[in-house]
Amino acid sequence: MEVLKVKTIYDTLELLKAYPGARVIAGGTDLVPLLKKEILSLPALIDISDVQELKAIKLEGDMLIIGAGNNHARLACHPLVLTFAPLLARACARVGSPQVRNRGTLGGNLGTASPAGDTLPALVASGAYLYLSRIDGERQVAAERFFQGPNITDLQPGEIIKAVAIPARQYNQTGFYYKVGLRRSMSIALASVAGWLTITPEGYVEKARIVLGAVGPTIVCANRCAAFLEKNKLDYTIIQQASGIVAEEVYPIDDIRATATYRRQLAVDLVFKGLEAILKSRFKGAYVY
Amino acid sequence: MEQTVILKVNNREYFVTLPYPEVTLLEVLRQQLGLTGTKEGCGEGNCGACTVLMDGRAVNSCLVLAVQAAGHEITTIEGITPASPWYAIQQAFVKHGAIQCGYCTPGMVMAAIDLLSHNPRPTRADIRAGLSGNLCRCTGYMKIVDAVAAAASALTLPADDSF
Repeated sequence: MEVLKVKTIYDTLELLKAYPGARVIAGGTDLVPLLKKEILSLPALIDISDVQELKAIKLEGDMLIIGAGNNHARLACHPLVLTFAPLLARACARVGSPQVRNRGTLGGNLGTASPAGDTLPALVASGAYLYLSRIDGERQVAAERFFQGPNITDLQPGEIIKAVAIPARQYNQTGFYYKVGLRRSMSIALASVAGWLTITPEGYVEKARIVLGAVGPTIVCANRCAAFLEKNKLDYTIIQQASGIVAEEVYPIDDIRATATYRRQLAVDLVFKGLEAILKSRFKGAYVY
Repeated sequence: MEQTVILKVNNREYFVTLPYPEVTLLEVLRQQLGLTGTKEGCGEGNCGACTVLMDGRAVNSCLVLAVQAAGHEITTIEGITPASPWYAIQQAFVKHGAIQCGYCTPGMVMAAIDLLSHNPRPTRADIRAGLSGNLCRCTGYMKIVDAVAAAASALTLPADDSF
């Protein structure tokens, strides 16, 4: 297997065409263990870890554009991400460990698309789009439609994830992100949740997105919970009812880390906790976590 | 066809012939360069024993392919000599009894350097977070945290700028 280092997206796409079945490698935090265990056998590895075109972070109009080649450590503390995509900043800070965050990239987390992937709920709740590059151009996919199953995405052969575009946080938006694991670090989520609300100062929910991780084959959008919130003004009764609805919207499994029952309860409790935090902050628009 | 790369490790350049294309930085450091201070604990990025600095940032060298390290500056525990400003960390580890079998120690020291070079006045919680990618089976971590806190103190002025 050859390892080929590239400097541009163009070269990456050319090599993907020249070596069918080849994969790109950036931080390698998901890929290298698979290679070592010989779970994957590839004709070539294309090293994109130094492709500068994938490392942009900039505001374009009302969208925050983040290159897929950025590592989680950078995103977790970058001023633009903290301000305009706070759910993503929180999620990135929860990936792996400091060492893993210094190498692993957003694009890698999205491409691996683990059902428990830390950044996935944050991006979907934020209404993000993915920009995918291919040799004949570029296409956009809503994050909500990109993740289709365990390690299954809409990425086609010959494509790479170039960037994500996130609608920049507005003054009347707030949210929450929680991840529960068996440890505080180096821990796969037992359940995670990202909530993003557009809310009036009186507490009327104009728009809600509640997205859960690790409680289904991929991310789960709790649409009935969100629809319920959008009809209502937040108070304790409403948030109790809303979080109760989540119990029926998730499909957790029993596995080595936790039972389905426990995960379902976590999902309900985390949604409640997040909504309660927003309630307590009196909708000042200051995001809570 | 053999692949060679130039690696810059502890401020020295090494011409390395790769035994196979996807060899990791950890293996090259230990086998090709004889820098055995960096240890392999799990080989899959979970334990942090293989931690080195890449451009000043802590990374698991078992997850970095050697070809990816070309063009970057690698610092290993061997680079933290008595002449290094970070030697204070090692001295603190010795003084505070933070070393038992010693296997996690190089990784802990490198992770501590990343922590202190970006957060010179960490709280104990900050230290625990900064070292959260490094496992120790011997010490129970307390003395390691004590040592890093002491090193941080030794490396900075008091907050009120008194001498």
